[in-house]
Amino acid sequence: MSAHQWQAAVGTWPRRSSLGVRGLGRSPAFLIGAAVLLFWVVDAVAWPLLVPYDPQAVAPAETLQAPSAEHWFGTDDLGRDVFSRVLAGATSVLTVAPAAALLAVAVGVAIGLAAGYLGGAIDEVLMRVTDALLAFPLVVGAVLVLAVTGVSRLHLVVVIALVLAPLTARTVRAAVRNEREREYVEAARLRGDSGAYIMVAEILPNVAAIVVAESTTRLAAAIFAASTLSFLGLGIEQPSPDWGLSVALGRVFLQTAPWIVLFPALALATLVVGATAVADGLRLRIER
Amino acid sequence: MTEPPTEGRRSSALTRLVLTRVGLALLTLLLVSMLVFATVQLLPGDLGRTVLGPYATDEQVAALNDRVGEDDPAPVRYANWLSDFVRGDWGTSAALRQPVRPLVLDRLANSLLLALYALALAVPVGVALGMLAARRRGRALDAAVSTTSVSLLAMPEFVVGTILSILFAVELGWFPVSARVPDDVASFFHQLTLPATVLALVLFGSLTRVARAATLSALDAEYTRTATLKGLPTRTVLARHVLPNVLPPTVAAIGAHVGYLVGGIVVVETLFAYPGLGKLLLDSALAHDLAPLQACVLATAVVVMVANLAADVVASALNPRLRRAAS
Repeated sequence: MSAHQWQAAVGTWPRRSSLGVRGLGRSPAFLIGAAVLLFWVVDAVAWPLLVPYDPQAVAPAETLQAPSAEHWFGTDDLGRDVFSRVLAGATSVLTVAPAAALLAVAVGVAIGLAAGYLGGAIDEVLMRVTDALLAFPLVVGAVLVLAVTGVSRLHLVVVIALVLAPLTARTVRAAVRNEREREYVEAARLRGDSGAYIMVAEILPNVAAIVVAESTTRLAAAIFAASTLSFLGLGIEQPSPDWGLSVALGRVFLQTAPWIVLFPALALATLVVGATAVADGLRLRIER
Repeated sequence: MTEPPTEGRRSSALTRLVLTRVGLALLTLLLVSMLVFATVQLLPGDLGRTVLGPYATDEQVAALNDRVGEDDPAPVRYANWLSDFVRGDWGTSAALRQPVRPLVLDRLANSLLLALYALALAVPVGVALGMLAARRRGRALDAAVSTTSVSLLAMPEFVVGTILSILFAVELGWFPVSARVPDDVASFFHQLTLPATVLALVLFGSLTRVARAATLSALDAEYTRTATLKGLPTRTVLARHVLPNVLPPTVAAIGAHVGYLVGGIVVVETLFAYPGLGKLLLDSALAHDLAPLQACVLATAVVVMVANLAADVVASALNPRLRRAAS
């Protein structure tokens, strides 16, 4: 490598990709999605200040009442206020899903960095394992594992993270393979930096934008998985006002009191659409 | 580009592709069977106690466990289980007290009926809307189709199913809230339309995206421009030049989504209390009923493999370029 090339390589070294969030302010889908997501996040923390009734308060005299001025979303089979339960129900899904998404991205980034940077046999083995995991139906795997480990929030987080991590690993690996051939990596290698240092301090900041987009995409997927598993009876346990659980338990009253299941289902739908709009906006922004 | 290969070379390449894939699929199945067996061994639960109930003495439980080989080392039990399974003895359900094989095959047939109906609904609509969105690229319809398909992809099946049930079963009363196995054509549509629509909507989200992307690249290709410049009507160009290039990736996408479809079936069958394989799988897992649980997971794995394989073969049979690349 000539002195000139060396200079060129060093000159490009502190390349930091911008997250490119400026243009997002003009996308209405992203803005609405972000507002909905923000609303539910605030609600998940501050619901005790917002609810008109105690979400667990049983009222035997007021069971299965239709929506009214007193009970905006009606009452359930135990006379509990559905509106208050919907507001309180955001907490469980918004603790499990972000925790699972973060764990999935952490594991996925570690695998993707190692596979993409080291290449060779390690890459081959890691990618075969993720392929095998991806081929297995998500719900079937989760049902099997949760039946063995028993139902708890921690198990739920770990199972969802394990199911989602392979997808992140693949995306990160592809991005790392692109970066590996660039001059700044070559320069760091010539400087004698260790492989671990190059992966974490050189390559990782340059794929940060992709990691951020991955995290929001995985968050949407984790909301899907957490609520589905709760609905199947493998997630959150009674008497939590969790939305998936509420739909599962209220299903028997579908004919007589559909509001018990309708409002938690609609709440979850808005959360999912909001998270997806944010993830999609970020992804499109970064791909451009 | 070289000369197109002869019909004989083409079919031999296809045969080789199929044989390689079948070999790989069998290997994967063996791995899955080991994994399932190992996982299920970890389940808390005592076979003898489950079969004999809480009033049996410890001696009776131990005697039964000894008789059925429950105390043998794990590799021996795995080998016995696998050889029994391959020979058609899938064991007995401890909770339902009936042989597992007819039960699982019966439930599998119910689930396949539902899945095929969902595919029949999702594929034509998904491909048509994807092509339409691509032709109207960047316009309102394109944006609407894209937004809908992205949202549907992320929407849990039980949410879609609950909202559709309230609308079409409770309010309008067109369909039942829970689905029974149909016994004739009329009841097929009455019972299965709602659950199949829920599955189809989720599939439709991904199919539309794939069809749109494939149509865009086909519309930009030289052969489409040539066909248009030759003066062929738009309809002919779409049917003869664009559609053949949209179908292979769409079929491949169906294959790739069979796993998701299976997950969706577990949820939809639970929501509509439909006696399919997915519901049996969940019920056996919740009841720690090992024999049907193992059989369900293996049957699911077989279905996913076969569907992936079929999708690959159909996609490559439909795609002349892939056939050429394989030879």
